[in-house]
Amino acid sequence: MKRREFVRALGLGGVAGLAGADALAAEIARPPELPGRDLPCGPPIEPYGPLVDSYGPLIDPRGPLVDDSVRLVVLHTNDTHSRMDPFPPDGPFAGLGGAARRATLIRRVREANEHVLLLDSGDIFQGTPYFNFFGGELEFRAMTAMGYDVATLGNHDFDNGVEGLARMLPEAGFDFVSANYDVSASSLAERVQPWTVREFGGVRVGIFGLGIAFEKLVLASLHRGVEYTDPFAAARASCQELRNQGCALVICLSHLGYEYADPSRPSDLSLAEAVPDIDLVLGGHTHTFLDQPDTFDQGQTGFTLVNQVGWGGMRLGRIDVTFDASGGANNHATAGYEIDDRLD
Amino acid sequence: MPGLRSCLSLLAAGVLAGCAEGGQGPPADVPEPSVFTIREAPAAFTEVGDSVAPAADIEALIAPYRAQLGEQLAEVLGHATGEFVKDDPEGALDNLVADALLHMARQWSRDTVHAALINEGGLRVPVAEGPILMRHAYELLPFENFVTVLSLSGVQMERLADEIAAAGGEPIAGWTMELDSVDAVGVRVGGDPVDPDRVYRLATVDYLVNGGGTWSVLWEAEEASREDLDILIRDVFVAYLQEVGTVTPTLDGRIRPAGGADREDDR
Repeated sequence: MKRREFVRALGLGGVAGLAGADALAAEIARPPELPGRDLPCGPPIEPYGPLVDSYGPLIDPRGPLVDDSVRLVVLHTNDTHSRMDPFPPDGPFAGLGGAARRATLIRRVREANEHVLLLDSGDIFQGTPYFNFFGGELEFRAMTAMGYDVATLGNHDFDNGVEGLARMLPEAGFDFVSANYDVSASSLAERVQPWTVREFGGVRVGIFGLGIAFEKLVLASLHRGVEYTDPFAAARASCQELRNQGCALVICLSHLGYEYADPSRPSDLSLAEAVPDIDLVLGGHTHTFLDQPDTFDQGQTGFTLVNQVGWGGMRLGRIDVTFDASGGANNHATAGYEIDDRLD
Repeated sequence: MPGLRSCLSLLAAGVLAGCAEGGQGPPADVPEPSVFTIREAPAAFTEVGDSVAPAADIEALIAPYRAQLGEQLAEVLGHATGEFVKDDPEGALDNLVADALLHMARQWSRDTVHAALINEGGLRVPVAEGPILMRHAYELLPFENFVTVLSLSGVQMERLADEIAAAGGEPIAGWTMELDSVDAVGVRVGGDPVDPDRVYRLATVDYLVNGGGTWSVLWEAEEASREDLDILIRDVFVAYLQEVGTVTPTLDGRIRPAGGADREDDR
C-alpha cells in the first residue's frame, strides 16, 4: 500500500489576522502570476530556508529544479439544504449564502487553478420551498452548472423517497458515491457507486462516500431498497481499493456527522480514528462550522484532515493539496539531483 | 515571494526526514513520477456573502423557479384576527396547530381519533395578524413530517401526559390536563377522565413516533397499532385554514398549572 510520508496541514484560522474569506478573496483578486503566494505555510521561518541535502525531493530554494509537484484545489460544501437564494435579510444568517454567488467563487478558483475538485457531502435537498415545490430539480441543475464533480447522499436526500431522488438524478451532471449504502436493490444502483477515481496531472485521487444510519432519521418507506451498512468497514474496503488503484489522496465524503455524545455512534471524528488511511474527511449532517479542519496525526499513514463548512451554502470550503512526485520502493523520494549550474 | 519559497523548504526538510537511505548516489535520470506523496494541505473557507457577485447564468437558472415559487407562496390560505405565538404551558399557536391536526386527522383517519399532540419545537415562527399565506405555512412548519395516528392505552396516555408535563406543556387538542410540579393530573380525554383500560387513538407526527423528540411513550407503539396518514403536518395546517378561513387566537385552559389561576400567579 502506498503511504504518504509527510503532510503539512494548517487551517487559516490559525494564522494571525487572516480570516479564511479574506485569504481566498485576496487570491481571487490577485493576478494569477503568483498563485498561492499567501497560502498558510506555518510559523514564520527564515526566508528561503535551509538548503536541503542532495537526496530527496527536487526542491531548490530559488525555484523547483524539476517541476514535479501538482497542486489540487479541493472545494467543498455540505448540507446546502435547497438554499438557492441568500438567507433573507430579516432572519438569522441574513444575507449569507446564495447559489449564484457560490458559482462565482468556484469559477474564480477554477480560473486561477489548473486542478480543481468540487465536492458535496450530502443533504442537498430540503430546507426551502424550492425543494417542496420542485423536488430538487433546481438544486441539481445549479450544482451541475457550477461544475460539481462528486457528491454523497445525506438523509434528507431521501425526503421524497428513493424514487423521488432517482427521478431527479438525470438533472445531476455529477457523480454520487456511497460506500456503505447498499443501493444494489434500488433504482439508484446505476447512479450511485461506492467510490470514484479522478486524475489530476498524473495524481490519482479517490473519493468515496459514507451515509448516516437511517434509523430514526429516514422512514423505511423512504429508503426502501437502500440498506445502511457499517461505515467503518466500508471505509476500510474503500481505502484499500483506492490505494490499490494508486490513489495518492483518498477523500471521504461523509454524512455521518462531526461528533456525538455517544462515542459508539459513527462520526467523522471516530471515523478518522478508526480508519487512519483516509486523508480528507469532508463531513456533513451536524451543520458544524469548523473554522479550520481538525488534524489527526496518524503516524505511519500521515495525517487526516476532518472538515465541515456549516450549512446552507454559507461557506465554501477549500483545501489545497500539493503533491510531490516521487518514485521507488517504499514510496521514499529516491530521485536525486545533480549539483550543476541550475543551482547557480 | 518569501512565503511560498520558505514554505517549500520547510516542507522539503520534513520529507527528507522520512528518507533514511542515502549514499547510493543520485540516479542519472529523474524517474518518471508515478507515485505522489502529499506535501502540504492548507485549508481555508470563504464566506459566501454580498462581497461576491452572483453568477448571471445561475441567477437566470433560478429566476423562473423563484417567480413560480413566489406566486404559489403568495396564495392566501386564511386570515388571523390576532397574533398567534407559542407559549408554555398553553399558547395560541400551540392550540391552532394541535386543533388543525386533530380536526384533519379525524377527517382522514380510518377510525376515531380522540386526541392530538405535536412538539412545540416543530413550530418555527409565530403567525402574525392578517392574511395567512402559503409562505407562512412553510415558515411555521418547514419539516416533512407526516401525520401518524397511534393506539395508546389509558395507562400510556397518563404516562404521556406526565412526559408532556415534564416538558412544561406542549401543543395538545382533544384532551386536557393540569400540570403538577413534575406530573400531569386530572387528565381528561374528550371531557372524561382517562380510563386506564381503554384504547385511545392519538394523532401526532411520524418524527416523534420514529424516535425523534423526547417522549418515550410514543416510541413504544407497535407497528400494527399505528396508522400512517400520507399527509404532511404542513398540508394539514393548509387544509385546515382553507376549511375554516378565519382563525382567532384562543387560550381555553386545556393545559394549565394544577390549582388554576392562583398557582399561575405564583410563577
